[in-house]
Order: sequence, then C-alpha cells, then structure tokens
Amino acid sequence: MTGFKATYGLVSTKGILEGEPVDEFIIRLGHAAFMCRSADDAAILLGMLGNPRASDSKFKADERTAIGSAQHPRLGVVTNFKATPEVRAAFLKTIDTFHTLGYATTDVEAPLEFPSLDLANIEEDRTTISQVLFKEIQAVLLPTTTDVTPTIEEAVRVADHRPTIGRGRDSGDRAQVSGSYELARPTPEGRLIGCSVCADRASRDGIWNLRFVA
Amino acid sequence: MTYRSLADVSESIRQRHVSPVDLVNECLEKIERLNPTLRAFITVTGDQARQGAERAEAEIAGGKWRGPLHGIPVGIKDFFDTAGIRTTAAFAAFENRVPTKDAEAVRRLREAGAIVIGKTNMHELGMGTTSVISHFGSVHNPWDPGYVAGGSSGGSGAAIAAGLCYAPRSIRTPSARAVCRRLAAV
Repeated sequence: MTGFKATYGLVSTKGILEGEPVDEFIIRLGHAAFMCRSADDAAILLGMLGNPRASDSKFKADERTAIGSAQHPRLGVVTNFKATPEVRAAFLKTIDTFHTLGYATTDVEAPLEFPSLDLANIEEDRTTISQVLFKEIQAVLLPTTTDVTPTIEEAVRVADHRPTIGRGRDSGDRAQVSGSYELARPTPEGRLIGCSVCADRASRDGIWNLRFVA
Repeated sequence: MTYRSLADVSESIRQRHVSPVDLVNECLEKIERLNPTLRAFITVTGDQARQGAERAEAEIAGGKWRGPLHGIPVGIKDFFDTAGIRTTAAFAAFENRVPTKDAEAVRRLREAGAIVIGKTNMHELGMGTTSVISHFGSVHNPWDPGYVAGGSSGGSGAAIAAGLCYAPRSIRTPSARAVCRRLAAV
C-alpha cells in the first residue's frame, strides 16, 4: 500500500462534515490524503486532486508539485526515534532496501520534541522545524509506528482510557514529525511494516522515484 | 483484477480490455463477501456505482475517455460529504446525516470519472488511531482480522489492502491524540 499526505492546503478539505462544529485544532492540523497501491497511483490521484484549481487552495500554479522526476533526493535517516525492537529491526531493513536500490542516506536528528501543539505558534513552529530538519537533506525516513500493530481487543482496552497529550500509555511515542499511518501487517517478520517519507515543504521539484521493495 | 494498481487497470479500461461494469461488480462482490468481517465500509452504494459504471463504459466506448480515473471504483472516507449519501464519521448522532452537496475533493473525483462505490469506516470523528471505536463496528485488519487496521482511516486502509476498491479518500485529522500514533502505514 502507498499512502500520500500532501502539504497543507494542496488537497481540498472543503466539505468535510460541512456545517458541523469543528475544533480549531482539526482545521489547522487536518489533511486530506489518499491511499492506493503504488507511487504511480498516488501521482495519478495527486494530479487530479492536488492541483491549484481547488477553489480553497492557496497554492499558485508555479508551486504545484511536479510529477515524475526521477531525481534521487538527499535522504536523511532519523536516528533519535523511539520504537520497540521489532519496529526498529524492520525499519533498519527498510533502510538497507533503500541502499540496495542505490540511495545514499545521511543520519539526522529530528526535532521530535519540538512541536508544542500551540495553535498560536503553529505556523512558526512548522517553519522552524522545516528549516532545521531540511537544512542538508530533502526528505527524511522514519518508522511510521513505534510499536507493532495491536489486536482489536488490546486497542479497545486502550481506547477506553482516552489518553491526553503527553500522558498515558502512548507517552513519548512520537516516532515522527509528521506523516501518518494506516495499515500494518500484524507481525513484522523482518519485513517492511511501514515507513514514512517526509519531504520538505519547499522541495517541490518532484515526487521522487521512491519505490519500496516490500 | 481488484489487486492490480490503478495505473494498470486504468490503461486496460482506456484500451477497453477491462469493463468498468465488470470491475465495479467484482468490487461489490468482494465487499459483500469480506465486509461483514472487515467492516471496511459503512455504506455501500452498489446501485449508484453500477449505474455510474454503465455510464462510464458507454462514454469510453463512445471515445470520451476522461482520464486515468475514468471508470475506477473508489471509496470515500465517511468524513467527506457525499450528496444524497449519508456521511456519518462513524458517529452515532450522525447516523442519518445526509449532506446535499459533495465535498470539493469528491466532486473532483466524480468529474474525473471515478465511481464512488461506498463510504469507508473510520475511528469515530477521526479521534483515534485504531478505528476500533466506530458506531458501525471496529475495522479489522485484512492481513489478520484479529488485529486493528490503523486509523483514523482504518476502513480505507482495509479496503485497499483487501482489494475492495481503488484509492479510498481519507483525511488525516490529527486530533489531540494524534501525537500518540502507534500504528503503521505503507
């Protein structure tokens, strides 16, 4: 599976539960995104959904994401993520796969503790994080999960507790700066169980030719 | 056929080697068989999808191929309004909420010729990462139904992984809990 989350505002979020009361947080942090089966499929969908014809898009034509660049981006591998040994092992195998595909990588520290989730500073925080993280590289690789997929039963138990930010069972589990996750194979078995690629908002020169061999 | 990529199937549709009607029927058959276990969809719009597929097939046969999404069955996360089709966000109080207008993204997909096959299940109001809390039942992971399918777009993920449709739309709305992500996507 391939998931794609576009830069804020690139894919319209107009008409999501239109007319219902909504939290300011969700408006500022919500993305429209899609899932499909390959990078090519994601490119097709972005072509249809992500262009500046969207009436509420603030992006101009010259900022549109170009599709089909085969250029290899400079990749950073996040070293300071938190994850269980299973996830860590699967992630390292993923990085090996990138290497066998001919990508060079650089180790980086991601400002995982930085986001304050303060609405007043959100744009400023994004800019700062972007500047720090994407100084030398164009995209970062990091695991999408901190732990292997829970069973339904376990997840229901956790959901009943409704943890708040920075507290509870998930405390400190921020494996990623942004990106999202949807579906994991229940057991890693040494295979790729999910990898996020977060690209700099300023890097609009293409959807890179990143094809995972999973 | 429903495990093939969108790019691949789309090319076959353009060349008229694959019929959108057959494709939609295959997806609907699979949904009927697997959805009681996976609960990937909240609402399945079978009749409308079949009509849409017939229309697409006629258009393409008439030389009016609209592009790579023409005749492709897609799932829409139940967060996005769909005109005349209930949009619930998996929330009990929205069980009978029927919007009059399509969301912008849905409108764009339809314009491109995509066929909406149903509304995908999700974590209630997008406020969680496991999709186990849904008025319409927990989403189950197609790899092993004992496990969760992630979230909040768990139904979309399950639908794609199980080959129930192409390209479910999903919105990721990091709620207060979204800093606590635990699951995986590919």
